[in-house]
Formats: sequence, structure tokens, C-alpha cells
Amino acid sequence: MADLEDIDTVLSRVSGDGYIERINGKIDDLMEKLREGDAALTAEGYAPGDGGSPWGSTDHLGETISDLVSIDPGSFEGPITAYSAAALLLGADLMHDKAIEAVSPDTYPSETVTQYMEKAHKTLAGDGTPADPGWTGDSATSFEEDFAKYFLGPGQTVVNQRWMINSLQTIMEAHRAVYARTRNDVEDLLDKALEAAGMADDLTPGGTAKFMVTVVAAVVAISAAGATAPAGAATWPVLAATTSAAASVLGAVPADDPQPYDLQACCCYDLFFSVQGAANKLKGDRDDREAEVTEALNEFTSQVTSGSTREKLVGPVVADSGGDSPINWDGDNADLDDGYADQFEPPG
Amino acid sequence: MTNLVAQLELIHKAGASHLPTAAAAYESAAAGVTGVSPPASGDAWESANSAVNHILIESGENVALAGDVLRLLAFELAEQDGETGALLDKIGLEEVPSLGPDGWSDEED
Repeated sequence: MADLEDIDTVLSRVSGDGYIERINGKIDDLMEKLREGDAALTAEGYAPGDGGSPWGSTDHLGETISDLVSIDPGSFEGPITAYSAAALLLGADLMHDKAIEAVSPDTYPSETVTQYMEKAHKTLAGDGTPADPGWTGDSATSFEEDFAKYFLGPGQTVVNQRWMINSLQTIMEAHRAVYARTRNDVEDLLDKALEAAGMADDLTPGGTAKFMVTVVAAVVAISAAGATAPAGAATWPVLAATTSAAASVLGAVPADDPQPYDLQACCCYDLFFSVQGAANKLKGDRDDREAEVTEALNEFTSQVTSGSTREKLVGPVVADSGGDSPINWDGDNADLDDGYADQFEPPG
Repeated sequence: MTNLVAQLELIHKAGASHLPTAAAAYESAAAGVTGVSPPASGDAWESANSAVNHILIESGENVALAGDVLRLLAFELAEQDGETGALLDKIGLEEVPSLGPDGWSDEED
């Protein structure tokens, strides 16, 4: 990926109200210079009879550009942090992309699912010492091997669930990048157009001003989603990296290289329509990128709701040797299957 | 010789405390995901969040069920060894609680 500025740098520049104030000032400046440069360009322009967009209207062009930057990429921060916090609650630390988890260091839970499961598991398994040798027998083994183990670090059920949530987080980050790159491209467009318009009557005949369309590369971040398989994952008979929802998303949204766009800057009249064309291209590219993010999201949803994948994400349920629930219900009262209890052998 | 009642108390604690707390953590994670409200493309995000929410809720229910199993197991094993009274003393209950559709009798409001 050539000449693509780091997304964090872009985000810091284009998020928040400061960007909008800056961009509105640039829009006003550009429109004023365009009107000064050619009398055919006016604030209202000329309304066509068919009710379409007014021709030569700097107000309309300004609104078109404003619409492009109406969504603040900073507003994605809350959702991204929420995903990070949810993933952290599950545990299985060291299994995942630390860069993703670091989003919400303040939300690190004091204890996680895996830690609570570890405490529960330890009561049955013991610590192997003579004082705490642990319970044995078929039911104890089944509880450990067929259930609890999947929820302990690096229990594959929790790892899969972390992939699942981290995938959502990464898609959300890609979604944010679409709006951040769009804002960045709009400012680049305005800067280049202002620079050209500032030359007024001295605009170079046949000249052009180049700006870069980077929104086409906005979803590159998805390529990093869940790509790191946890150590030992292959030893667990559940989701492998190549079949996980995150991995399936990888190929769904390829990113393009940033594209140069030449503004026709030979005169203000041409520059106006060139900026208008550039704004329309940016809108189209942004919408295309967003559609691809939505497609990746829909693919993700399809993956995690499919039968076998969903089972591996939900994880196992406690069962007796026959695969049935060890709890019997007699009317409104539950009782434990006698055979299940009999297959626990107490510590010696 | 390992103290059997002490071991049963631990099994009971795992079933009555550790696993329900793990299940509650799943509930919190599920609520956190379903509460996500992105600024754009809301429908697609809502579907994805709902799918993930249901998966986490189901995992939590499975973990809660495991807690029920361990708690029932502790009382069953205590009964088999004639240690029910000792276990109840250890965990501070007067009688063996029952598990019904609304949960455990000693945890009902």
C-alpha cells in the first residue's frame, strides 16, 4: 500500500469539532474565491427547470462537500471501546492482538470468565498435591475434558469468542477509517483547490492540481483482523484460523491503492466543476467502501450464525457419559442423575 | 487424608459462586455488545451484534447450568457419604436447597 498515511495520525487530525470548524472555513474561502474568479459562478447558481441540482451554485457545492464530512470518525470510539471491553471480560489473555485490546485499558476487568472458570475447575481437578489431589472418575474427567477445559486459558471456546468480538471491533475500526479517510481526502481536495483558486487570473492555462483519494484504501485494517492464531489452537478440535469468521472476512474487502485525482485548474470556472466532480467521486468511493464494510459485516453474521461455527463459538455444555444433561427434572424440581454422581471418585 | 467435607464445600462454592459469576460475566459481555450503536449502517451492525449477543448469552447459560450441576453434585455426594449435615454447617445453610424453574430456593427473592 503506497503513500497511505497512518490511520491514527489521520484520526487525530480529522476527528472532533475542530475539523468541522476548519473545513467550514476552507469551504467558505474556496467558494468565495471561485465566485470572485468567475462571474458565472454564484451562491445560488441557476436552478434547472426539472428541479435538479442548481448549476454553478457555490452554496450547493459547499453543501455537497459538507455532507461528505458529516459523520465524525470520533463517534466510533464508543462502540470500538465497548467491543474491546466485552472481549476483555472473556479473558484468554495473551491469545489476541494486543493492539486491539489496548483500546480500552481502563476497562480491564478485575476478573474474567476464564479466571472464574479456573477457580471452578481447580476445585475438581485439584492442584496435584497430596493435600489436594482432585476428584477423579469418569464424570470428573468428562467435566474437565469435555466442558471446563474449553473455557480456560487458552480454552478454544473463549478464544473463538474473542476472535468473534475482535472481528467486530476490527470491522468497526475499518468502518471508522472510511469516514476518517473521507474527511482527510476532502481536506486535501479543499487545500489543493484553494491553492489553485488563490492564483485567480494567474491560473496556469491547461494546468492541473493533484490530490489523492485515499478512502479507497480505508478498509485495509480488516486485513489485520484475527490473523494471529493462538498458540496451541491446532490441538483443539474447534475453529482453526483458516475457517474462523475473522479469517473469512480477510479476503472480503481488499483495499485499493490511493488514487490520484487531477483537478482542472486552468481557470476558476473549470476548477469549480472539477471540484464538483471530485466531490462526487469521493462520495461514490466512500459509499462503495462502506458497502464493502457492510458486506463484510453481513458475511461475519452469516458465518457466526451457521450451525457448526456457531456451536464452536457457543462452546460445550455439561453432559453425562451418554451426552445427555446430568440434570433430571421431575416436575418443577431438578435432581442430579445418580449415575453422574456415582462416577465421581473422591480425593484419596 | 483429604477432608471430604472441605472438598465438597469447594465443589459447592464452584457451583454456587464461581460459575454463576462467570455466567454473569458472559451476560455483561453480551449486554456490552448489543448496546453498541454505530454512527452509520445501523441495520447491519444490529444484526451482527444480535448474533454475537445470543452466542454469549447461550454460553453464559451453559456455564450457569454447569454451576447447577456442581451444586447438585456437592449435595448428592454429601448424601452418599452421610455428610449432608456437615456440608450444610460448612456452607451456612439450614436445609438442602432445591433447584426449580426459577432457580435455587435459597437464592429466590
